[in-house]
Parts: sequence; C-alpha cells; structure tokens
Amino acid sequence: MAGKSLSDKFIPYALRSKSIERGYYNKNKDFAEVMGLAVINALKSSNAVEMSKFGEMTTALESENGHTVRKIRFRPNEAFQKRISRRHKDRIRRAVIAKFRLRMAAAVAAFLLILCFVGYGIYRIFGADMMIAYKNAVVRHRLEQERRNHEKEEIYLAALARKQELEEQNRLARLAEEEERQRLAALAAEQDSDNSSDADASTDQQIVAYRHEDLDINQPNVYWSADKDLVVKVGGDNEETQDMEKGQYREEIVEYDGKLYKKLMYIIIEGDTLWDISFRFLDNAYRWPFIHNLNKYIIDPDFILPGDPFVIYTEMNE
Amino acid sequence: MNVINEKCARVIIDELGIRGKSTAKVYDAFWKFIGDELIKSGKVTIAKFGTFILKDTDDANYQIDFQPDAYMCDELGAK
Repeated sequence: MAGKSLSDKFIPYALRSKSIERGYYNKNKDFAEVMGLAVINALKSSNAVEMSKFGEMTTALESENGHTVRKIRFRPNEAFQKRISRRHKDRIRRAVIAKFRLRMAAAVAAFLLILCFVGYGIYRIFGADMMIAYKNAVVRHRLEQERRNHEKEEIYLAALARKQELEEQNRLARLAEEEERQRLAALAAEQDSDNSSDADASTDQQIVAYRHEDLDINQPNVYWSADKDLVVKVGGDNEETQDMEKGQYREEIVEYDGKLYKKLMYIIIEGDTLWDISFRFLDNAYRWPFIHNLNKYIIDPDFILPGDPFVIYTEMNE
Repeated sequence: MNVINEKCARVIIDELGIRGKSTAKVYDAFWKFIGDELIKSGKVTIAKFGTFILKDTDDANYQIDFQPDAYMCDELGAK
C-alpha cells in the first residue's frame, strides 16, 4: 500500500487548523496539485508570487551559454530560513553530542578491554600464587569465623553457667534463710520455754533463787516458772554483787528441786551490749531478750549502764 | 492578514470550490504545511509543480533547493 499523498496529509492538517470546513471543498481534486497550478497561473502574468510565509517563487530571464532563457527560482521566506537554520544548529549539536558519547563509549570499552588483558596477563604470571593466597585467605577467614563462633558459644555457655550458679546461690540462700528462720523460730520457742522454765525475773538488781519450800510464792516480788521448778525473789539481798568490780564475773551452782541451775553474776563494763553478754554467757546472741526479761530494771535494752549487775539463771543439763 | 495573488485565488476557487474568504487561509495553511513537511522529511514533491529539497551547504547551514517540474517549465517557458 502506497504512502499517503501530500493532499491526504494536508486535509486533516487544514481541518485541524480550521483553514477549511468539512464538506466545503472538492474532494476529487488534489490539493497540492491545485496549489501548484495556482502559483504557475499567477507566474504567467507576474514575475513573482508570494507563497505565504514559505517563500517567494520568481521567474527571470537569464543569460546561459549566450542564450537568454527564463529561469524559475525559489527564495525562502526570511523567518522560514531562520527556522531551518535553527533546526540545522540543533542537528549539529545533537550530532556532536552523539559523536562525543560514541567516543566515550569506545574509550570505556577500550579501557575495559585493556583492563581485561592486563588482568589476564597478571593471572597468567602470578595466577598460581594468587590462587594459593586466595585459598589461604579463604581458609583464614573460615577459621576466624569458627573462632568467633566458638567464642560466642563460650560466652553463651559462661553466661548460662553464671545464670545457673546464681540460681543455685539463690536457692541456697533461700534454703539458708529458711533454715535460719526455722532456727530462729526454734530459738524463740526455746526462749519461751526458758522464760517459762526459768524464773520470771525481778526489776531489781538482785535476783535470788530459793527452794520452793523455802519461799512463799504469795509474797510480792516472787516469781516462778510454769513448773515451779525455779522461783526467784526480786529485790532481795544484793550483797552478793556489792564486792564485784566492773567486768567481773561470778558463777555459782544452785540446786533446786533436784535440778542444778547455774547462777551467773556479771557487772557491766563500758562497751557491753545485751547481745554480747548473751553470746558470752549463753553461747547464743539471740537469747538477749531472756537476759532482758530477767533483769527488768533495764527499761531500754539498747541502753545499759556500766557498773550495773546482771544475774542470769540457766538450767544445767548435766 | 492573509494575502493571495488574485489569479492564484481564482484557480483555487475554481478547482477546489472553496469560497472566496477561505481561499487565502487555505493557501497560507498549505504553504505552511509544505514548510513543516520539508523540515520533517527534507524533501517535498508537488505534482506538476516541482520538488523542494533541503540541502546542507558548506557554510554549515541549510539551503532550500527547488527543482521545477517539466510541466511547470513548459507552462512558463522556462528551463
């Protein structure tokens, strides 16, 4: 199928630009041919015909090989000539750019080619050594990775062991705490037993134990244990401790109702605490409330005065 | 303002049946179209008229060369 003729192209163009109206022209005629004929017809009576902004067609008599002949010339419109000149410059610029890009591409390709050749040459010359070095590097890298993994594993195991150790410590601490609590509970029970078995002490400095038969328990300041195995009289004779110096300690065995009791007498010195005294004489620091209970003249257990006597009765097991 | 030779206009009116006022518009549009085609394709041939060719000159510029058709030469008595 042949390409579109000039008229076929022009008619849509003219319709779009509203130069002609649809249906108001002879469709059987070739537009281009008619336009040409129009110019030719005009040139028959005129030497120059303006072709709008396209140019000017002229005819003139010129001398050629000694003969005068009529020549047909076309002179483009000045604006049109500028237009095509601008287009020409653009084309040249594009051509220059394209050439530059082509040269750059060629240069890059040549550079890469040279690089390939150089690389290949180096490989051929030092290839074996390079491969060995590369393999060594790979092996070193793997070993290093394994070492790091091992270190990480060790750190993890250490952390795990530490965690287990802490858990074990916590468990032991809980057990110890539980044991201590049980021990203290037992101790408290024992103290209660002591308090109940030992005599209820007096508030005075002197506590004197008597045999049950020798003492009327209905007298004031007389206390006895639950089983009445120990009876004390508070505020009795204090001659026993009058001749004692600070820090002096005296121990007596008292027999009561077939049982032996140890009577401890002690004069407080500077720096003593109930805690220390309990630990020293009763082998248990936690029994200090027992001492406090027997020596009720002590109002504040944290505040004891040097020179004051302590009297403690304890049941002897043997 | 569109200006057209009277004899040109007569041919266009007679041959194409276009009304008087539109003649100059069609004439202008046609030659503008030819200019565009020439720039686009570098060569435009009009039957019984001639061929316009865009030529690259030595001074790095374009020049439009026109080669009249034999029919045109005959009609105008030109070579």
